[in-house]
Amino acid sequence: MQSTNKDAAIFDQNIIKQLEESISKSSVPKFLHLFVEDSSLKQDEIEQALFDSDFETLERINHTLASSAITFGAVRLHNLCRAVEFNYKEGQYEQAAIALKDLPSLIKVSNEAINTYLESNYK
Amino acid sequence: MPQILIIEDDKNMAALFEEFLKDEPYKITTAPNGQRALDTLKSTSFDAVMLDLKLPDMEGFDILKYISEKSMDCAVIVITSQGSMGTAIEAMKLDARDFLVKPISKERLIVTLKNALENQELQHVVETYKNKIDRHDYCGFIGSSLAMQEIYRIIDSASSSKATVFITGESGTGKEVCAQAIHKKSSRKNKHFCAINCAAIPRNLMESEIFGHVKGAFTGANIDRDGAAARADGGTLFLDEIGEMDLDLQTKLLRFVQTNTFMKVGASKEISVDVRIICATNRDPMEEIHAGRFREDLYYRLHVLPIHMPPLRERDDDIIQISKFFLKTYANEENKIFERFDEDVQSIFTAYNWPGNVRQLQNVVRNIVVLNNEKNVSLGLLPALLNNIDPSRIPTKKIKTPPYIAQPLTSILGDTPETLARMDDLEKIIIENAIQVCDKNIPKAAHYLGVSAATIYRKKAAWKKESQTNTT
Repeated sequence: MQSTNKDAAIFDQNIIKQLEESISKSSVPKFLHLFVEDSSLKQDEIEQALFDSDFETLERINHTLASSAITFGAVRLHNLCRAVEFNYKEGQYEQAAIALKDLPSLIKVSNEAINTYLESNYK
Repeated sequence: MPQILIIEDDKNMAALFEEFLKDEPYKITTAPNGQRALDTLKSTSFDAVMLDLKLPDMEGFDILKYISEKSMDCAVIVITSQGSMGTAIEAMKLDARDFLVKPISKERLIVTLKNALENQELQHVVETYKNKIDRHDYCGFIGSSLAMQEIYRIIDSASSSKATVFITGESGTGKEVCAQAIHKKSSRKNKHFCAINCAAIPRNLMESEIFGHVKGAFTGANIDRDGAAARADGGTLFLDEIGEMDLDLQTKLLRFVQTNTFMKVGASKEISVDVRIICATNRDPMEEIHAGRFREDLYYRLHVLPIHMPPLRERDDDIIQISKFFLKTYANEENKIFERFDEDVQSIFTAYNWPGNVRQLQNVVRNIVVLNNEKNVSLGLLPALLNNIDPSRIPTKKIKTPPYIAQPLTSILGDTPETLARMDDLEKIIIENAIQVCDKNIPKAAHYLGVSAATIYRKKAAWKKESQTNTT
């Protein structure tokens, strides 16, 4: 099983710096804001799917969130979601549920870090 | 402008991909789920599809299968995540062109799409080329030898013209099939193809056969009758064995070729027609001219587009291909169980010089089928003429030292376990050597290597890609 890697950065600015080199700098805040909004929505969807014991949806949402998290620098969130996706794929539902307990706080700190970055770089 | 479909359920990621590609010359469409993607694919054709394998309403594989089943002409690039490489490989087995692992950088996305589209274009070129060059049968002909590929190419070009065609070649090489092919490929195909064999018709009747006659023109001419020239109006007149034509009639034919007009035997009125003339002979026309049996001015009028049909002995593997066709045809016709030729029979067929060409081969196979009934055509079933060939005298293919390989063979193959050559390296050497030997003519090299030209083009593209990857 993959670890959630507590040592990983909550938010890796280098990933965003690379993104800023790839697309126009003015577009970056739009994508970061969208990610912040979307991750909160995904958290709601995860809670609903947990309530419904809909493991297929849980696997898929964690897959999607893991992909967008790594794209927008939320490395620790990416690691957590990827590990949870793996748990569901392997039928390790209990481990997945335990790991998911950290999700709300991790989304919160990730989004805070992104907002801080936006405030200091895009005022 | 190439059309790209991005199938990605995460709208933020889809928007990011669009942003990455906004300065590229592509028209981008996005689909947020599988159903929308299928609907879009049904209504619009795309050059490339970027496909996320995890979709909310269906597996990305279902879309990949749909594209494959419908033989859609688009390159699919699978989007996957780290740890899902097995899935990506499965997708490649289902004809996905490439895969991208998230997170995807702008550069990687652009290069992958560009490569996929270039590859797609290359495949189109290869397909077109293959359809034009690597043909196994064509308008009644069977055979994929280089000699026949050249004939098919000339027929393709000649068919759109009205110019006279002069076909030479030994008996049984398919001169009439060639004339029919030109007619079938031309815009005249819906009009008559009239064939006259100048050797089979008595000389005194030949003029009437070609130009027709009026009632009372000669004894027995009880009614007006159209000749082949009138019947072929708008179509094609094929004059086989033209070397047998009487010199007086050659004069009349010359006038007909020059003016497209003629008079029926016994008539005083000229008739104008639009006829394409194709003629053929198994004789050497220059020899006939020198011997005074063929008018030189007529020859130069007719000899506008010359086609020389190759004898069967010069058509390499066509002999076996044609034999198999005849075996299948006659076994069906005669209700026999024949399925194949033994290897040694094939060797004899290939070694024999077939003076009667395809017609002789046809007769030999028919003879075997009619007189026997077995699954395999073995040596014992061959007609006496062919059985007289001593198999030990069948020449084996001589292996020429390839000029491209200057080193001794052992230095290439390796003489210790550590220095043994890799299969893929040897394959590259063999292909490059063949291309060199064949003057960079890839279809020719492919022919002699016994592979399709598409295989060589694909391998060359892979080597190019590999060397680009190694240099970056």
